[in-house]
Amino acid sequence: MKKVILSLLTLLIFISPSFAADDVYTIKVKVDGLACPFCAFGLEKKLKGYEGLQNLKILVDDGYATFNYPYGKTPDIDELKERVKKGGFTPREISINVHGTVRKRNQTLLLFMNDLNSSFQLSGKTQGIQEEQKIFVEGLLFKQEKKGHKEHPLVIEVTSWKKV
Amino acid sequence: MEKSVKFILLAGFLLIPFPTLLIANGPPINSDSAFVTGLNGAAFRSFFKVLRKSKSGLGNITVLSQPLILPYEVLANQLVLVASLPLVLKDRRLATGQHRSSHFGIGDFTFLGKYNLYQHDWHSGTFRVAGKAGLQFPTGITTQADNLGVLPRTLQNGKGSWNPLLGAVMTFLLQRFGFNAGIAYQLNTPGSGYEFGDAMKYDLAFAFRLIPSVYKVYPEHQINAFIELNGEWKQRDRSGGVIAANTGGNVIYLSPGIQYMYESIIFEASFQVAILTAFIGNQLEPQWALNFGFRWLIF
Repeated sequence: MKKVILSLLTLLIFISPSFAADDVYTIKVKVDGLACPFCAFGLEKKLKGYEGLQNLKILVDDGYATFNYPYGKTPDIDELKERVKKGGFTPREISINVHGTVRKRNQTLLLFMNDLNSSFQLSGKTQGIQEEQKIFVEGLLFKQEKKGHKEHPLVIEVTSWKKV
Repeated sequence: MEKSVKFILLAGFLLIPFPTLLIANGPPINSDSAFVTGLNGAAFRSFFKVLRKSKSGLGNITVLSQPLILPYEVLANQLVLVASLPLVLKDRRLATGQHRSSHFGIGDFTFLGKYNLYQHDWHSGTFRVAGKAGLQFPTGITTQADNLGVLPRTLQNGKGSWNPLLGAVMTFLLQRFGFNAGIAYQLNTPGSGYEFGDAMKYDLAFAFRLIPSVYKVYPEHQINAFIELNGEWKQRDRSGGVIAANTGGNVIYLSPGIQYMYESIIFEASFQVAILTAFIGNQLEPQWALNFGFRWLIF
């Protein structure tokens, strides 16, 4: 009996959709001015100093820097852009590919990662997204400036999504 | 090999921070670029130059030089300060072929600031302009002598005066192509009864990435070809307030070069040939120069 229970538990672990503790999501920063390896070298050194960043790739011809970021943490967009500038280049839009659970607060769709502090507002192509759904989302990431507010939420302008 | 030559070569390979102006698409070998990215750590660079000047009836001189350079990034991608001290060996031969003298020593120390004035970036390209200003200090010797007497001031290692300099440089890069243009003017002041004429350097550098044709993911092995035009104009000198004979003139070098880059390392070489010389009076004229070395960025 114990063996059966253990086998069932093992099977559940492998077949259930899981957001493992070491899970990551992908961020892509468009970088203008990239024209040489020395340029990329300087950019690489600046971005690698950004805490939590993993698997950095610099696509010189495409003009992007992509990396993974720890699931459950939201990125500091301002610091990211500042690092690109200090690396000698101009940051443009930031895009994100992340998964989470959808909730609704005051008519606003939110994508939660692990807890209430790690969430994104969703805008753009959100038709069909329902509350409590677990979804993968791809879109442009920006900070919504709200006058008179201390907090400026991170917003994903969704370009595509799918259920997990 | 003479001790002084060994010293220069050794100095080039010592762990001495060298400036590396983080330059684009392969930094030009003999020209400057508008990139202003100092160093967070230290860059090791060895850059050795051999210059030959000669004139029928006057003999020739071979100058070997190796700069010692320390950079400091004051503001990231905005302002970098550079201190430069050249080690110089000059070997002089008379018109008869007889060896006259060899002397080794430090040249004049230069302190320079370079500031990013303008930057416009787009996909796979950039246009930048930087301004620079500095001061040359009288640290080089001006009284070197041999068995025939004190060498002429134009053959000494130092100018013996405080000399400000001002310049600007522009860089345009688009995918495989690069173009740099720069100008620098040095105002030479009197020192010890002698005043070197003002000097202006002007450069054009064209770069082309031979391989890869498309640079996908950093890092990739890269080979760049350069063709540069490097000009030097010098005003006539004054000695005791009187215009000195056989001084002043202009030279333009044609400088093809090749460069290999991978990650943070560059190996490069360039041969400069004087294609236009216009010198006043009878004086030694530049014929050719050879530059070679490597750059290694370590942060």
